[in-house]
Amino acid sequence: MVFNTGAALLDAIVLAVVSHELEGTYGYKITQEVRQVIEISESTLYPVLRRLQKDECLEVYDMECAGRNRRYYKVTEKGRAQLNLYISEWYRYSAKLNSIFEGGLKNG
Amino acid sequence: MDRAEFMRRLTDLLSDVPPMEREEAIQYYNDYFDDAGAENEAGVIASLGTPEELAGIIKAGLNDGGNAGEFTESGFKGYGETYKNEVMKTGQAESGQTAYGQNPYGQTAYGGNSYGQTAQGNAGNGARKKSMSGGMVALIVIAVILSSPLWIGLAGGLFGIVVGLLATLLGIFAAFLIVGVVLAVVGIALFVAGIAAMVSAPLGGLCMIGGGMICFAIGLVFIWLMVIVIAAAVPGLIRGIVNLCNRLFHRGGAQA
Repeated sequence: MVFNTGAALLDAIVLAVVSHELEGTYGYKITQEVRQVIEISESTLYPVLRRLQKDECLEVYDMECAGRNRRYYKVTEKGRAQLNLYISEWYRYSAKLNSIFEGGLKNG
Repeated sequence: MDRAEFMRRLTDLLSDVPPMEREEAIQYYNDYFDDAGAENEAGVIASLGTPEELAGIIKAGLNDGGNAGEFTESGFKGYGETYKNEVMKTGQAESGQTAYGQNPYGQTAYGGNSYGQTAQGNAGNGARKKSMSGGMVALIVIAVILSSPLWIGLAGGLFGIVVGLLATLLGIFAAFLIVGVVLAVVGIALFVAGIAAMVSAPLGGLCMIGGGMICFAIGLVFIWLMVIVIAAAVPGLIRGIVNLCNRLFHRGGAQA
């Protein structure tokens, strides 16, 4: 990929992926979904999830699944507010970039 | 290396992190292997890297602690490097509460100003709340090294001034002391010469003896004064120098 994914953007992507599952989702699935859109190593997401959890943007709970406990992540109210902030900021940012790119094309 | 071996080594490598963090990480990666399925075990191990690398990433995540507002253009490096995030703090997030509504993509929800302020305040808060990250420390070290000509020069200048002042004081003291000693010696010489002169000219001899005694007395007074001054000043002087050195060192640290 040409562009780096900044930590804030990665947070936003993770929050967005988790928020799509109202009942919460688990580490492996989150990793696979994030990896469908950006190139990250499988080991990258644990620190991100842990940090978002500490920042109270994510909450965890254990649920029994196929005879074992699986840890689920769920977006909190704060996490949802944070995600909305990221999203609106992303739109502002990308709109500015688009206007520059398009303006550049028109003038060029 | 199979999963059991991988997890055993990871657990060993995480022995120096808080137990709660260790268990979180171990549970996460146990889940991860379970969810990937036995058929993907080798692939997951290959993709996670060595246990050493994975433990490094986990520890880096712990130390990072989420420094708000510091991540900018340096980008997210992902593998084996620390990075910083920009998670907004609750206070700020809630202060704009009405803005987060049912419409998550509402561009209208954030006025440019209010958002800018929120983000700024947040960045400040975060920076104050969180301890320094490794990157910050590295930056500081670089700054110290780069600015070393400046502060070494400054410290040298200050040191020179202090030494100069001390030398001047010492010189004055020494001068008084020497004057005192010379006077005393001259006094003694006059006294001796006066006694010798008593034989040929008793009156002149007496005068010389008297003058010698006066000289000697004045010299003693000078010496005595200097001894008193030095006795009083030296402990204070030493304390002052020690304090100054302390302050210099501390200020050097703060500037860095």
